[in-house]
Amino acid sequence: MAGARRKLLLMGRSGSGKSSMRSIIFSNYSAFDTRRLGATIDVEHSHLRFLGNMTLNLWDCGGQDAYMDHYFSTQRDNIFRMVEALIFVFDVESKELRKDIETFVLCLRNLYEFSPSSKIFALVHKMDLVILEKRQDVYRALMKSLEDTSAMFSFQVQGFATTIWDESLYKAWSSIVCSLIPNVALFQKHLQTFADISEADEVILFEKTTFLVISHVTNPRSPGFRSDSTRFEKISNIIKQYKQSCSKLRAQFQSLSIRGTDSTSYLDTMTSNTMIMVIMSHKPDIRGSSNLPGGNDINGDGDESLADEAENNIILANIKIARKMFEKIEMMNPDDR
Amino acid sequence: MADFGGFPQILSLFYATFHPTEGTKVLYQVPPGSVVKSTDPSAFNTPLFDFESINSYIIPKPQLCNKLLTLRVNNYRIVSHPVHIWGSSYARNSFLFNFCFVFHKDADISAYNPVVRKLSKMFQALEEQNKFLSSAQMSEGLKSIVDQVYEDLNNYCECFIPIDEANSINIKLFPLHHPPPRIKAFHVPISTVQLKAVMDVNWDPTMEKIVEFIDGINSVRKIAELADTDYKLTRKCIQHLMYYGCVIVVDIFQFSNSYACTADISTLANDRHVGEECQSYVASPGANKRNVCDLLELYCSLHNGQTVKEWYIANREHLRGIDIRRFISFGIIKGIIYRVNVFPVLEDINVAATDPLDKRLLRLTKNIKHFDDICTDTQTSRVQSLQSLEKYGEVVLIRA
Repeated sequence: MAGARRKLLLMGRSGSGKSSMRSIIFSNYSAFDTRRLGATIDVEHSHLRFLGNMTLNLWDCGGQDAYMDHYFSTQRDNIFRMVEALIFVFDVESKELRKDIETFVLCLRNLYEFSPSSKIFALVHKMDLVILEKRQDVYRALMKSLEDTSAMFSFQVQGFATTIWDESLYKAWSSIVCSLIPNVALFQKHLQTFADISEADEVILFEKTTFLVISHVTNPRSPGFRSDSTRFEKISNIIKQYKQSCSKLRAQFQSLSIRGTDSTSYLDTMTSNTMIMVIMSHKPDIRGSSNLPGGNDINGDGDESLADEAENNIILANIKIARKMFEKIEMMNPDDR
Repeated sequence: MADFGGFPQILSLFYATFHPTEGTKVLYQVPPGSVVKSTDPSAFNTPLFDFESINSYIIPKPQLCNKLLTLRVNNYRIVSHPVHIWGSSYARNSFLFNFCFVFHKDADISAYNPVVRKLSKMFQALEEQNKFLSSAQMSEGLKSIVDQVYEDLNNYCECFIPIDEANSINIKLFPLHHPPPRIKAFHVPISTVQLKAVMDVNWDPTMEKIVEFIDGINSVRKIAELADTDYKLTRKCIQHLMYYGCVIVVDIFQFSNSYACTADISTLANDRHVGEECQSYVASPGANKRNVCDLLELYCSLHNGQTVKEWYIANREHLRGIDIRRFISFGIIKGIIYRVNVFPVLEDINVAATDPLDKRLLRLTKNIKHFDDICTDTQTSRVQSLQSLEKYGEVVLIRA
């Protein structure tokens, strides 16, 4: 059974941050580690297995003038053929924004010729160098030009403001990769079922190595404080860094449960390629005693922890049962629905 | 000395580097306009080749760096040694550069490989020590060095340029020969040049001692003995002489040897030069030169199964005025006859050996060595060796 192979073109001016992004998301570099990366010579090809049935063929194209000249002349059909997605990185500090946009247009022109069904993503990168108040404006201004130019070629560009120093990078790449997963809707559907049965407030499915969010389901009746819309990518960022810290101590991260005042979060392996996070808000105790903030044990020793353990076991059992189903989805032929 | 046609000319020498925003670019080229277009009035009208098409191989990926890289483009061959230096002081953490030599595609560039490598490593050291290349970028000093290397190697085949108090470029082109084959103790070196005439006071002392014993008769082992030098050193010296084409090695000449013709016997008949050479070489001092036809007939009369002694007795009349040893040597050197070796093989060993000499003898025989080897090693005569071997069982002699 052949897996889906997705060719991604990562282009942008030299030094805009393409290889840094690639190494953070796909090679476990920390943002600080990217300092020691060298310039990309010509095109760096990476083959990354994503889930069970998809291979991402990432073409990290060096942005020096000499290479760009090649991409648009002698190497045109080699570069622009069979592209699933173009990820164009704009350095927000670029002194030649006009030239960058022209290069973007050249890419669109070639994609229109060789891969007209390609998806287009624009990352407005290094946003940490722009002062907070100006960020929206800078982003919107650039995106306006890009949307106009993309429309000329009947492409719809999706934009993200990113920086390697916060979770915005994860949001962008999650969106990019998920748009390429052949049966992402199926994941969503089954995750919803799982959430309903578990009576969970929220369930999130992550890819195991990159920790990119594949899918998430939120119970509409869950308490209102879950209003931080960036929480998913924040979790990606935090857990990934936690995993890296664990590996520095020669420990392999397996699972996590965090008990808070109002809810408990469980993070565990779902399939060999995915991890699942289940957030359960605390229910009132069955015997009628109130669930005081701070988790005080009113009824005596042991009841509190018994309830915890019970819930823990239930969640794990649910995950175990659901595992087979999710494994099946992963191994599915991409053309199946 | 092997025929040497001279070193090929360097058609162009250029220095390229990786610029952080522009990518691979040629910073300097000599002669002007040979690689990329130049505004210099003396520049070429069109470059020798399209640099754009090969620039990814001039500054290649790190995995191909710090190695000798040769590529062919159209009618030209480019020999280079790209260097990749990691360092946080550089933009993008690395400095990449390459000094490239351009030759005609059919040129024999083997002599230049060590030169290109050496030059690259030297510039790498200069860069690491005091940022010679990256800070200067295109200083006049670097330009004149490139010019001088190009001129001197093309005109004089050597180049010496002092760069600063500590560093200098010191290059000389040497023809690259094939490594010589292993020499055995029983081989006999024959000199092809007047060794005494080319020798000078700077030669190796062992070499000086052995030269007078290289007479085409003494085996390597014998030479070491006569010259009172260490056998291993003697062998090494002979190998050196072989490498430079000053000697060739043949077997020990004995009347008990057997020789036979090879398939190349026809060269004596077809090649006039070989024929003439043979005539002069094999004639005894003071005798008349013999006819090439006669010589050919004599060579053909050699066969396996007949020793030189027997052959001489049979052909005595025809062999007047011919130096037998030289006759045989000439045949061997030119490859028109070959030596038939005799290998003793012991069927079964009936008795255990006690004598250490005998033990050695048996070991040699077990390793299938021919009599020359055995006799030289044990310093016994063939008859003696055979007698010793027969004590231990039946000996079968194989001629090949």
